[in-house]
Amino acid sequence: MSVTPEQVKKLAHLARLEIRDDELAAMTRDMEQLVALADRLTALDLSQTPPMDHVLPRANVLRDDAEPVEFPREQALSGAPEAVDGCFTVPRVVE
Amino acid sequence: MKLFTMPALMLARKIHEGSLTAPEVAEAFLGRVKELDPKIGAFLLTDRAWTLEAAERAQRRIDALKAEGKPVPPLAGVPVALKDNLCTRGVATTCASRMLENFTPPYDATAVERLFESLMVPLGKCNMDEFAMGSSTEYSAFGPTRNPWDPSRVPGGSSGGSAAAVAARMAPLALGTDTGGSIRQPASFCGVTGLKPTYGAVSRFGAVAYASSLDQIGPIGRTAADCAALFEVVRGRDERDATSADIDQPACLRDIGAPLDGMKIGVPSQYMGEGIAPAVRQAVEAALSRFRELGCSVTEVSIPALDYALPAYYILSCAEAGSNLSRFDGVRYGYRAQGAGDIDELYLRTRSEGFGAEVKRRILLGTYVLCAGYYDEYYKKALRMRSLVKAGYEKALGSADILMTPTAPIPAFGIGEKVDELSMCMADICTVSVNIAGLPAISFPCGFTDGLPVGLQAIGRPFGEAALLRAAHAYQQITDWHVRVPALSEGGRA
Repeated sequence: MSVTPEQVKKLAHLARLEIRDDELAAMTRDMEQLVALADRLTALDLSQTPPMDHVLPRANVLRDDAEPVEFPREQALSGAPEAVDGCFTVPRVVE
Repeated sequence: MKLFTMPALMLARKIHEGSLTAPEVAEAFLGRVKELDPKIGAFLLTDRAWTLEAAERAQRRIDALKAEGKPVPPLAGVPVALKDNLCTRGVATTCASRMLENFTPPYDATAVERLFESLMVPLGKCNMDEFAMGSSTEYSAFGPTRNPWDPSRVPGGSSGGSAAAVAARMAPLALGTDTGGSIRQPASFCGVTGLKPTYGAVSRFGAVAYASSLDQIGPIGRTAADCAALFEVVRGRDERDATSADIDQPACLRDIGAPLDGMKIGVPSQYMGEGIAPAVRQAVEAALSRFRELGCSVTEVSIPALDYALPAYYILSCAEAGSNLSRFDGVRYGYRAQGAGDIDELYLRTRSEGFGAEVKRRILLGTYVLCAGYYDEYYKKALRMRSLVKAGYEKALGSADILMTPTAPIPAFGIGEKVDELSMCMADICTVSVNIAGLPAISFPCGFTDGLPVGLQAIGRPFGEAALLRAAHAYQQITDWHVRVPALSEGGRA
């Protein structure tokens, strides 16, 4: 399947990435190569083979219902680029 | 024998005997990093206080255990270099990305915690491809690492810094992570030994996620025995990683010297044909002859699904990466773009400025294969292919005890040489299928071509690390590829 610059722009928007106009041609070409690689699978009929999400045959792994040791609030916020009054801050989202 | 050239287990023995102390050893390696690393660029960070305090703490504990007549852990006092995607409490963990340039984790990864519990000493944080996405360590935001065997060439990747540090004798041991070959391929390019454990053998808690269903932490060392010892330190059940296996994993180091008599080696034809450089194939064939001398039988096997493992790998790993890396939004940790007017602009600019080109490519491919309309065609199909790859390996490993292949189709390539996406992907052709199937595999040196190391990969049954380590160890008893030292460091060229 070929990849168009418009598709790359749309994917970038979905992934919250900005691809500048001067990067677009190169990124489109790289994506075409990667999609061409992925396309090697599309010709195969695998409808009789079940999908495998995970190699481990495990499900519903439970732990004891005990409160784990968590970080103090200051520590959890210590990596935040901006924090005010013990909270993460973001630009205003509600008018 | 110089301290730097001693295997880790020998260093541990000398520390235990008292002829060396942990702080002495740590000082010596820190000095060596200072001297050699400007030429190699294996380390992103060393922190003298962090290392020496741990060494002093380890020494006090070793002395106390000895005084009490209690057992001392097998690698007590030995320094270990850490790939910079393993969280270290109070010490920067960057993933070689601008996004995490100023990130200091408030906790240690489980594997790191276990190093400390076993009285090992952290030596520093190693360079890597950004977020472990790459095969050459050229995609580090902080500059490439150079191959100690030829500084104009790459060390492989993504754990290139870890492998180069061990190869240049700047560290006796290192931890890396392997999502599609990121321990084994750099081990091959750098002439060292690297083990990618069975999925679930080692807790992934505190390893910054790339593709969660494929990632594993594992050891890089100069000998199989050293890797066995370090693997035993870090593995085991961890409640903080629900995918860590809740089983008693078999001993690896204890029986590593057992003879290989009768071991059945299968050689998948898919990894010995087209695309494998003749010199690599010759080195692998010569190694297989040595295994026959060790009492093994060698038989060709065919696993047709392996031909489709590379596309399946790219689809699965990028899909998972796209989801995992959505957490980098400039709010809770990491880089944040300045002056954004609203939340959408904050996300967009933070991510666009913080991620490098390769990371963006993989996120975009991941977004593509998960899009409505493409999901069944790509992602679901890759999951179906995973079933076939796993079943193919299960069948082959039903008749063979282990499988052997080249680790990489070529030796280390030049820095800047692989300019397009596809040729870079091909460096992983022999390794990605192992992650898809969740199997253990080891790479160890089996020869040289034009002064560059060639690696042999051995693939085992789930939790069959002991057989792989035993095979590599037996081979290392009758060959000397693994003890050769690059000319860059003292000891002479191979």
